[in-house]
Amino acid sequence: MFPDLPQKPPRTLRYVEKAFDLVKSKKHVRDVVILNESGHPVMSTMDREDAVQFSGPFQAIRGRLERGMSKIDPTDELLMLRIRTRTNEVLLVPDSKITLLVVQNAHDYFEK
Amino acid sequence: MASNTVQMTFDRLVQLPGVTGAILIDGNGVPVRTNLPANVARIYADRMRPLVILARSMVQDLENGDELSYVRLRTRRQETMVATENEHTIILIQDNRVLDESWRSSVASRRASAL
Repeated sequence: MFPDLPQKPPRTLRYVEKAFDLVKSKKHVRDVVILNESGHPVMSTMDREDAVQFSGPFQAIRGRLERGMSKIDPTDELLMLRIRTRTNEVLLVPDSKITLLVVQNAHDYFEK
Repeated sequence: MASNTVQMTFDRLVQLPGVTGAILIDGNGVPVRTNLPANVARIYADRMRPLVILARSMVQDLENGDELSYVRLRTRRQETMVATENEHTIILIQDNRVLDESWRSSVASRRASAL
């Protein structure tokens, strides 16, 4: 999934479905939304209206973020954005032509 | 007193593994403490502030009563954490590889203690 890997598989429909199922099966994950290049949800655990409404703000924040990053280091590239609230955690992962949004329960792995 | 607490938190955070930069920002968006050059700290402070404001309003839109804890951006080179509490904001810049290693060793030690 990360560009550091030696070979990136093409973003075929099969890949998208596999990624969707893989992420959905993780512990603590509640919702998964996959957006296409235009920002439309193509796969989601939410119903369509909720997915559209949910993904809108994240596209806005991603745009803001990428503009900010280009000022700090133009050669760098966003791999993942994580927004943590008291009870929820949302991950945004740009991945070639798709974008993954994952909602999971907030959980600190470094707790003793 | 609150300011002292923030300063102590900042001092602890700077010692975390892989931290390459840390910035403490007050309520007016001015960096008050940092281990980076002043102009670099200013650039980060200016760029991350609108992001946090946007994230906070978005969180409130999506779910009433919830509160933003922190935002993490992982890029190819580094991972930046922007944590906001009351009026202060702390920006932490960490190296990806060191962060991943400490996470893996944390997972491994948790498994070992579970046996």
